[in-house]
Amino acid sequence: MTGVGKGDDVKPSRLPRVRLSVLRGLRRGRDSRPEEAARHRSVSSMGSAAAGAPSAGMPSTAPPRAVPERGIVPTTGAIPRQSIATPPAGATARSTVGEPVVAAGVEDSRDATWRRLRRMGKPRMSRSNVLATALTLCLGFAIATQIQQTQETGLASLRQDELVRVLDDVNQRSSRLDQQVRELEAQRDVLTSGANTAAEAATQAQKRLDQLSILAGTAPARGPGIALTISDPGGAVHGPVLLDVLQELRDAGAEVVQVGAVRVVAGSFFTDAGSSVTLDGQPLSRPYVFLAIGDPKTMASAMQIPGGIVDTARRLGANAVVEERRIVEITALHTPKTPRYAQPVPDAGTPGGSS
Amino acid sequence: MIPALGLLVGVVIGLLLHPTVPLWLQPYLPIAVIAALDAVFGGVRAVLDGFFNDKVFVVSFLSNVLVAAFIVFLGDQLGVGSQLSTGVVVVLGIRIFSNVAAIRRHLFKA
Repeated sequence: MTGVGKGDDVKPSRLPRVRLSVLRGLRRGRDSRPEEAARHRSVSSMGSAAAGAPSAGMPSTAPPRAVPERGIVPTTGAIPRQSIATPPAGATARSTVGEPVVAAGVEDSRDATWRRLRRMGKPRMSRSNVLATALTLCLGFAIATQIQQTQETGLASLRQDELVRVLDDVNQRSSRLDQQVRELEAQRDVLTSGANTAAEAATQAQKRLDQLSILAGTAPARGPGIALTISDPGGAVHGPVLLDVLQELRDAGAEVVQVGAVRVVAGSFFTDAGSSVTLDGQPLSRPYVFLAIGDPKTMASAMQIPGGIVDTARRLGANAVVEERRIVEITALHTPKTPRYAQPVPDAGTPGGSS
Repeated sequence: MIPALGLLVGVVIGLLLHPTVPLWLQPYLPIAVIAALDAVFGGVRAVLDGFFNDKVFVVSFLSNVLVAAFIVFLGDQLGVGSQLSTGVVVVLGIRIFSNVAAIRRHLFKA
């Protein structure tokens, strides 16, 4: 009964165990099943007493006792001395306790296993133990070394096909990055050209603003031109004459005109107020001084042609003097009024054309 | 216990010293490590089986390492080094697994 229960428990691990010892070329003591069961009981019953423990696995010089019908390789079948010696003690201990043997077999073997582990865990300073420690130390060293070596050797340890694959990956990645670079460069070019366009547009807009400012009279202007001074001691010069002067100047290409201290713009008008003349509601004082920027010779000759302004003024008893100047400074400004009735027509094609 | 501590100490030393494997040893070290691991697991199993022997452990350890290295060397000489290395690793892996299974059966009865 005992042997059967114990054998069922031990059987699965028996064959590999034997093979292991064969592979190592050991001649090691193996006991038959009932004897081993007895030895387990004896070890467990004796606790961790060191008497039977260290020699339990020692190779025995006893002649091999083959037990072929138990499935044990004959060359390994040597019985340790201890297993022969201990069964009576174990048996008596077991009998005195009087527990059911079959039920206790599993527990005993497990306890024995852990006890063996604990026993082997105790430090023992034998020559072989030190040697084994040195070997395992070498093993740990080798493991760590090999792991680090494997991690360190990147491309050097790869085979050719792996290297080709890595190269392909790198090439693909490179081409991808190249394409990305091209896209980003194109984007950058678009952005920079857009910035240039914006700057150019700003320049154009500034030019247009300057032009419009000069036309609207909101900016001072400077340039070659003439100064026409009409002295009217008799007060014979009225608005229509001054309007004719202005028309003649414009006809001669005057770009900016100032009369007295008033800037002449598109909406300027002369009004006769008694003996004086007003321009845009501001009275003009005699003598009337016209400052015009344009081609000086053209304007001067336009003033002085027969039947022109100078001639007319002379006929009216006034005196008109034309003076060509290289620099005419027009500083009078016109304050534009917001139109009350006219509304600009939105037109996307002509930006800024509403003014 | 002391050999187990030795294993840990060896790993720590290897990590600290950061050694370089000599070129002539590079093909053999991985296989030798596997073989030594097999010997260590076999020793643990022998402990649990109750017939552990320090001398046997030392001898099996050394012989495992030497035989594994020799097989790799022979395979290199014959031109089948990688295949033979794979075979050795497979065999040693099977042995390690069976040893671990036995250890597990001993410790947990499962």
